[in-house]
Amino acid sequence: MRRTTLVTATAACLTGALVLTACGGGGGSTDTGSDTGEVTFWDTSGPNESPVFTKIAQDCATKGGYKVKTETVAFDAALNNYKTAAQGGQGPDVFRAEVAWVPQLAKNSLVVDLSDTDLAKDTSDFLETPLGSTKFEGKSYGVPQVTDSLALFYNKKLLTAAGVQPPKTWAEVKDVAAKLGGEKSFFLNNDAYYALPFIYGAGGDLVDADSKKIVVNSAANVKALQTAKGLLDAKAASTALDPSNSYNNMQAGFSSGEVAMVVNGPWSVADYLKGAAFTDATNLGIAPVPGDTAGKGSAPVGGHDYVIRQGTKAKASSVKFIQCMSGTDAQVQVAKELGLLPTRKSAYDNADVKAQPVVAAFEPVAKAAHARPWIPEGGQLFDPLKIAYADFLAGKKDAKTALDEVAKAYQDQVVPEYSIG
Amino acid sequence: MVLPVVVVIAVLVLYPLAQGVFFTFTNINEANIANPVLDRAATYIGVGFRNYAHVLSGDTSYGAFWSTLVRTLIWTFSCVFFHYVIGLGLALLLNREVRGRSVYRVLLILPWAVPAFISAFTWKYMFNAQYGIINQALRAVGVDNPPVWLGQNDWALVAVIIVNVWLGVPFMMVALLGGLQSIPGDLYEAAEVDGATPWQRFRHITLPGLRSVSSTVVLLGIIWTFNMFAIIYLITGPNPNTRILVTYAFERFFSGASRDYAIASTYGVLILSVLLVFAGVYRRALRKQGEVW
Amino acid sequence: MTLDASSLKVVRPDRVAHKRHERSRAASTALHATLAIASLIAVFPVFWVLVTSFKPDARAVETTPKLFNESSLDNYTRILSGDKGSFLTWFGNSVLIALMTTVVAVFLSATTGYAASRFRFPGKRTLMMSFLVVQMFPFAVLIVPLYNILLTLGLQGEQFGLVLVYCTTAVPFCTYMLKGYFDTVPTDIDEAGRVDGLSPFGVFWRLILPLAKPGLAVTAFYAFITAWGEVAFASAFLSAADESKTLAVGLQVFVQQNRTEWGHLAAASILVAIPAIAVFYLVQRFLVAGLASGAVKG
Repeated sequence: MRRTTLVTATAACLTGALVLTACGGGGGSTDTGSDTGEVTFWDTSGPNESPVFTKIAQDCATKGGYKVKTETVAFDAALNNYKTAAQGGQGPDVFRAEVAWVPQLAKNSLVVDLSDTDLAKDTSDFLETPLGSTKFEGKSYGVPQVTDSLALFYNKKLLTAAGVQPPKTWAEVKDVAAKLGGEKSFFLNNDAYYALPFIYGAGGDLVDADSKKIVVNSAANVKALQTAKGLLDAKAASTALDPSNSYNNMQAGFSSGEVAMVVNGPWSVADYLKGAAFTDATNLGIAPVPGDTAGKGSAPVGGHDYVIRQGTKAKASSVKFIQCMSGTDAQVQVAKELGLLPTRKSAYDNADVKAQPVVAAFEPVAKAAHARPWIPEGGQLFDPLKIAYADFLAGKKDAKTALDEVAKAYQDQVVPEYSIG
Repeated sequence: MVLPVVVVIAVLVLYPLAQGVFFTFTNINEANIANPVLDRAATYIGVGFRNYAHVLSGDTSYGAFWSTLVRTLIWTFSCVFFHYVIGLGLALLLNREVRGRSVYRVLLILPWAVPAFISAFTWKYMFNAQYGIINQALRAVGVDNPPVWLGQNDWALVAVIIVNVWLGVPFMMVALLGGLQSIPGDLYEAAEVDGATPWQRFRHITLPGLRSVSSTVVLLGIIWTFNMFAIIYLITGPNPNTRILVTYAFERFFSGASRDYAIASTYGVLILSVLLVFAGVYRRALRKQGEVW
Repeated sequence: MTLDASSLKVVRPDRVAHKRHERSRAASTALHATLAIASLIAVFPVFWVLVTSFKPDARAVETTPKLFNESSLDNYTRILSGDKGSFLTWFGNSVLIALMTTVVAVFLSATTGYAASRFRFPGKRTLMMSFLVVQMFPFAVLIVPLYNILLTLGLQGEQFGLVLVYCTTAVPFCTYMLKGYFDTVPTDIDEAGRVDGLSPFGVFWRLILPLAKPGLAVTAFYAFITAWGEVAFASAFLSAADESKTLAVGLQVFVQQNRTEWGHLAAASILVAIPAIAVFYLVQRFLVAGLASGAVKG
C-alpha cells in the first residue's frame, strides 16, 4: 500500500529526531583532570529536613567558592536510581547514603575511595560506631553525617500515675504492664529492625562478619525472640499481626496516649510532639532500651554518610563540600534545628546541642549503639528476618524453626560464602 | 505507515529484551558487568542453562518457582474473572438510558483515575487489622475475630485480589462500554420483535458483538495482572503468602547488594514463556470460534 | 408482523411498543440501586483519601476512624504554595509528558491499528504478535539496559525520552484495542469512501476515525493515565532536580524513610486525581457515540 504524505512525514520526523539526538547528545566531556566546580548533592531526607540541609549547603558553597545544587530524592528509590545513574556515568556528585548502602556501593565501585583525601585525615572527632560504617575492606568511602539508634519512649504522665519507673529489663516491662493497662502498656513493632534490641540484648547477632559465620539461629537469638513473644503472651504488650501496618499502629497508639511505651528512633519525635498526648513536650520521656539485665540494653546503629560518586567531575569541590557539611558547625546547626544526632564528639559538647532535649536524651543511646555488620549484603539481612519474625509472632512457627529458616536463607541467597554456626 | 512504530519498538524494546535474554545465560550482576565508565572489564561468565535449572528446580532459595507459579495463576485468573464479570455487568447497566448516567460513569471511573500507589496506601489502611475501617465495620456487625487481612496467612492474597479487582474494573467497564456502543441498536430491536428474551438477546447479540473487544481485553488483562508488581508490593511488602513470580524477581533484583540481573532476567523469560504458551492456547481456542488473529 | 428493512420500523401491536420504551418501576429502582452500590464501592476509598487530606499528618492515622479530625485546608495551601516542593512545576511537567504520550501513542497506534485491520503487509502477523509479546516481559527488570540506550540516544533526562518509553508500553495495547474497534467498522465504508474519491488516508481520517471514537476515547484515556501515574521510569529517567520531576515522582517525597506524611500525601493525591477525572469527563461523551443506524444501510 502506498504510504500517504502525512504519515511518511511523521515517520521521517521521528526517525530524524532519533538520529539527531544520537548525534547531538551522548556522554559529557571526558576531561577527568579539571574540576567543574559544581556539586550536585542528592538529599534523601524529606521535605521537613531538606530545607535545613539545603541552606547549610548553600552557605558552604558561598564560603568555599564553588556551586552546589541540592536535589531532593525520595528515600525508597534513591539507592536504585543512584546505582542506575552511576553505572552510566551520570548522577550526583555527593550522595547522602544510608549506612547500610555504603559497603555495597563500595563493593560495586560506585563511590570514590577517600582514603588519600583530606576527608580521611583527621577522623578522631567522629564517634566510633558511625565511623565504622564508612569503612570497607580497610579503605574509607564516606564521612558520617548523622547517626541514630533506638530508645525507649514513654508517656511520663501514664508512668507516674501508675507509680512506675521506665523499665530497664524486659522482665520489668512484664512486671509494670499490669499497672499500665496490660496489653496497652507496650507496643511491639512487628519489624526485623525492631527485633534487634531483643537480639542484641540477649548477646546475639545476625552474622559474624569477622569469622564469616551466620549466627542468626543461635541459642541467644532463640531466647531473644521468646522474650519478645513472652511479652505478648503475658498480655504485657500488643503488636500488629499485619507487618505493613505495624509502624503506623505504633505511632497512632503512642501519639494518642493509648499506649504507654514504645521503642523507636529520634526521627519519630517530630510526629509524637504533634500527637494528642504530647502537646506538652515535657511529657515525652526517653530512656535507653531495656535489656536482659539492667543497664545492658543494646540498640542498633543507623544513620547516613556522605559519599562521592565514582566518575564525578567535581571531586575536589565535593571533598570541600563534605568537609564543610560534616564539620562541627554544620552538625551543631542540624542538631539544633532538626534534633538529628551529630556524629562528632565535639558537637555534643556544644551548649546549644546540650540544650536540645532530644539530642541530649539520645546522646548516651547513640554512644552505646551496637554496630551492625558493615558488609555489602547488610541491607539484605532484614527481609528474611522480617518474614520469620512476623510468622513467629503470629504463632505460625516456633522460634528455632523460624530462625533456622532465616539462617538457611542467608546461606543460600545472601552470604553464600559464610557457614552456619 | 507502520515504520515509526517498528523503529521505536525495535530500539527501545527488542534490544533491551535481547540483552535480557543474553543475561539469563550468564551469571551477570552489577558487580561483574562491563562498565566502561568505571573502567571495569566484564568478569561474568556464561553458565548455560544453569540459571534456568536453579529456578525451575523449585528450590526455596530461588523462590520456590512452582508454588509461586500456582499462586500467580490463582491471582491472575481470580482477578481477571472478576474484572470481566463485574465490568461487563456495569457496562450493560450503563449502556441503558439511566438518569444521571454520566455521573455514575465518572464515579465508577475513579479507581482508575487515582494513581495506583495512592489507592494502595488507602487500602492498606482500610485493611489495617486493628484500626482499619473494614475490621471496625465487621466488629460492629458482630464478627468477633475479623481476619488479619495483611498478615502471614492467605487472607493477604484475598485482600490484594480485592484491591486489584477494585482497581481494574473501571478499565474493563470502559472498554466493554465502548464495545457495546458499536453494536447496532437495530439488532436488539429486531430480536425483540422476533420475541427474544433479554437473556437470549444477551447471548446471541451482545456477547458475539463484544467478542473482538472482549478477547482483547481479557488477554491483555491476563498479561497485565500476571505482571502486576506494584499493588502487591505496596500493600503487603515481602510476604510469602502474596508472592507472585514478578514480585520475587524484584525482591531478588532490587534488594540485592549487587543487583542480580541474571536471575531477574531468568524470571522475566520464564514469565514470558508461560504467557506465550497461554496466548498460544487462547488464540487456538479463539480461532476455533472464528476469530482471526 | 413485518420488518421493514429500509426504515427498520416495526409494525407491531401496541403492547410490545409500550413495553420497549418503558421500564417498570421495580426494574428502575433495581438498576439505580445496583449502580449506586457499585459507585459507593468505587468511590469510598477515594472518599477516604479526600477525608484524610484535610487532616494534619499527625491525625491522619487514627485509632478510631473519624470524618473530621482537626480538618482544615492547610495541607492544600502548603502543597500549592510550594512549601513541600514545586508542586506546580511538577504539575506542568506531568501535563506536558502525559499529553505528549497521549498524542504520540494514539496517533501511532491508530495508524498501525488501521493498517493491521485493513491491509495485508509482510510481517503483519509478527508485528501484532510482537506487540503482545512485548507486554509479557516485566520491563522494569531491564531498567539498566533501557537507561543505557536512552543515554546513548541522548534522551536520558529528556522528557521526550520518557515519552518514548511510555509509548512502548502504551502503543502495543492501544494498537490491539484500536484494531479491534476498527474491525467492527464494516469495510463497505472504506469502499464507499474510495468510490467517492478519498485517498486511503482520507478514508482513515475522515470516515473511519470518527466511527471509532469510543475506541479512541478508551485508548487516549489509557495512554494519559499510564503516563500520568507512572513512577519508576519517571524517577530513573528524568533528572532529580525539582524542576524536572513529574507529579508521581514528586509525591514520593511524602513517603520518607521512617514516616509517611499521610495528610499531605492524601491532599497531593486528590490534586493529582482531579485532572485525570477531568480528562475522563471530556473523553466520556465519545463513549456514547456509536454507529448511527442508517449510516451504512440505505
